[in-house]
Amino acid sequence: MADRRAEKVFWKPTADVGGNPVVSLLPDQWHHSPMRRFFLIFLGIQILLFAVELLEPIQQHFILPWTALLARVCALLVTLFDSHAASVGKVLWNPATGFGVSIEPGCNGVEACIILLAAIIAFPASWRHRAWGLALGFVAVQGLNVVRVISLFYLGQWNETAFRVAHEYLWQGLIMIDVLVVWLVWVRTNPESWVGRPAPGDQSASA
Amino acid sequence: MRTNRFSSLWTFFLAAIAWFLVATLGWMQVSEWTSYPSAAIAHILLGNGAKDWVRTIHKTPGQLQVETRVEVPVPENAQGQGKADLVVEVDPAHYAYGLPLFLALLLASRSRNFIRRALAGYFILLIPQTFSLVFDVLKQILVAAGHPESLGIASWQMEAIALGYQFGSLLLPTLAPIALWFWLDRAFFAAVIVEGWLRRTEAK
Repeated sequence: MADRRAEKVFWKPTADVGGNPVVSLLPDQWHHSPMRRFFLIFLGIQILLFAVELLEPIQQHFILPWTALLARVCALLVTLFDSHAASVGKVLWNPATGFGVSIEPGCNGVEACIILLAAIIAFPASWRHRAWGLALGFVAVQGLNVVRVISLFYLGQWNETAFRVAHEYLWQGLIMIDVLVVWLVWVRTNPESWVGRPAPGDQSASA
Repeated sequence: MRTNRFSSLWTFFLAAIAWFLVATLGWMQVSEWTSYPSAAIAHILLGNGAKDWVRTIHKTPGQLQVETRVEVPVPENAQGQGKADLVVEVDPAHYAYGLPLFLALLLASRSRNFIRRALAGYFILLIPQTFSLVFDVLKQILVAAGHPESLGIASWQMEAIALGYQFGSLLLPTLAPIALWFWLDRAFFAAVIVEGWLRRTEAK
């Protein structure tokens, strides 16, 4: 029952289950379908950034250098405990066996960062809190992505089927769960949370 | 009781990972069949929307095979260099891994009406899966043909297909299940915010 009441308060702040008026906990402008507003802004920013990411100049000057840097960082970390690793461009490879993994679009964490960025910007918060969320989120997503690349590097040398399953299915979902949880943590720590705000014109609720 | 269930996002995080691993392993056993409806929808869409390119479509569990009218050069053989009709193949399950992710999120958040929401999610997720599938086929045709002129389309249409393919392969398979879960399980999101507010209030 409690969650149903919470849902009603946050997303349909009109009346409780007994038909009594509910004291709104949302800013006034969010009464007009906040979910719809969030989703529209989220999708708009995402499509825009995704299209920008695909532009040739952006690919040449940002995405490919970033991907090459990611490969170098992975090679650097791997060589701490395994000397059989090197990076050439966006490829992390083992010169001894000849096996290598090429970090392609979708594997460099850029798309996950775009999703996180769009979700953070679409949600009501101060720009300072957004900047904090973006910085922390970027580290969290790219950190896990480094783990993904290194794990795939070793899985590929061990078993082709395991590599395929991890690459095509498991890591895609795990990265997105990471993005989701980072965003939820950020939302929960938002100092400008709507909760506890008085309803417009309701002085009694401003304790 | 309810507050305890949402007491920690970390519990949710770990549960989501665990359920995702379990659900993915289970889904892999049946993915050929669960993704078959998206292949059937893609069959209808391609058969009606790309008649000039598509000759026939064969679908079996685990594979969608499209025989096209698009001619591509073939390597030299005994009869010399020639041309052949392009055949495109794609695995419908390749874009359907959002289903175990969606189920994992429902289970990790202890969603109410699990069966009902899971079924609704399965059917709704067929739409983005079909989108990804269709654009994969179109992209393969485009790449094989080489130039948009040979397919009778303008360059902006070629760009649209490229964008649709990138969107359908890189973002949609993972974004769609999360957005759908977020929409269906709004109570969980509300509880997360309430918990954060309560913690800050207690800290003060």
